Amino acid sequence: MDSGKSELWKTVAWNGLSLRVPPQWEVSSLATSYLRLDDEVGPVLELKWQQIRGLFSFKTHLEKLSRLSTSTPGVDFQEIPLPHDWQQALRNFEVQSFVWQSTEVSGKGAILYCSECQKAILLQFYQKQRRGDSRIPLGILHSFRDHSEDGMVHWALFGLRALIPQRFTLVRHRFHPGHYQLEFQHQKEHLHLNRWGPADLVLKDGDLLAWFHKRCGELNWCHAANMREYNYDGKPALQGQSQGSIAAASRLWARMTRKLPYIWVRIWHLASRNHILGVAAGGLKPLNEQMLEEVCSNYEMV
Amino acid sequence: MRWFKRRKPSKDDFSKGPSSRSESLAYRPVKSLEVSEEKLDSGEVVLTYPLTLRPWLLSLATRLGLRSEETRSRKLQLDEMGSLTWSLLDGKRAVHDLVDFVCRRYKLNRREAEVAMTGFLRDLGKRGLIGFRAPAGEEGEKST
Repeated sequence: MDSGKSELWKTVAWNGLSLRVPPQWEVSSLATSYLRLDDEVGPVLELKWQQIRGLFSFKTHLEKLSRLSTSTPGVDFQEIPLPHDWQQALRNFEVQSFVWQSTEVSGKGAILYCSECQKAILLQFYQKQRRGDSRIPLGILHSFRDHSEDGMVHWALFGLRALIPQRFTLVRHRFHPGHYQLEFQHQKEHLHLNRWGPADLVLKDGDLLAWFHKRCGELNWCHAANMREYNYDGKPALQGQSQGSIAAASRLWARMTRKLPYIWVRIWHLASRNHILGVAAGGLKPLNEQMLEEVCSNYEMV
Repeated sequence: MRWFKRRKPSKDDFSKGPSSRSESLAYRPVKSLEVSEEKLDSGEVVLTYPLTLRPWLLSLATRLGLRSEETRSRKLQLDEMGSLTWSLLDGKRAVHDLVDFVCRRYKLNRREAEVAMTGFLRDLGKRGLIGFRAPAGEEGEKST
């Protein structure tokens, strides 16, 4: 398989993990802590991870994998010493590597444990007989990161890029043709990233404001924000916010009715990419607008 | 306990169809000859196609006197993107050609365009509006 130049590789970053992969590799399966990438032929890389509380045992997890393989006929699973060329790339992790072989496909992978963020990661590369370029896995492993250093988590998938403060956890995601949505939450603070497209189709019957009023049901609580036309960095945009009462009774009422008194929404038309991007936040307490500005400035389509 | 053992698919069953994503994308969608199309002023296309009923349902409808020309056909109005895709179905373009076109035309991410296109074609196939022709070099015609 032609991996191309590594400068042309793209970044895939999802829920704390990030890696660079060849441009023809695409995410084919996705869950909160799971990623599978396929090339034109089939699966090539699978990642699964979990936050560990307490002690981590490689033995337990390898035994689980071994049991799984023995229950599948025709699969031969083996623990192996960490390949020499992988050692440098995975020097920041505690590692146990393995290989497995079935009639048509084989796999080579490792269980990684990061003592810094207490994350355990199962990573495996699929290989068909004719595909054996060992530079690709090595290049990926060199680029692999499982936590951020600066408190901001990088998200990069399906052309979408964003930087989100680490305190937010992903609660829901959807990647439907035409509408992508990532929903984050930290205590009672909510943060939504949206992307609609293609913009020329979405906006064919009117402007951004008319479209928003028609579709704001999708943004759930955002209808409460008083949206106005706005110029965001030279792009046509809408912005709105609502501020709740600071009275304790009002806050208690909001809590009981699950309504968010503080809402901030910005939606802008990214004509160069033919998409509409939106950032919405809501909470029971006043929102940090500086943080939201930062989220907007780092939210883009590539 | 199962009364009948489920038949295991043999390798031959799969040899006729696509075995990978790239092979599936090389198939060429072909319009059904039984579909008539009408173009609206807005540019959107309305398709009229015969409704296929199960034989027992068809005989029941006949007995009850519910069988008429109107009940035997259905209409489907495509949106702008669907209409454009429909106009491109000429039996020569493969699914990946359609995906490339939509990617370029609407500046979509390839994966997104692929999911949208395959979903749309699958839906057309289920209604019997299109069939799929095997890529050049492979024999036979595959219908959905």
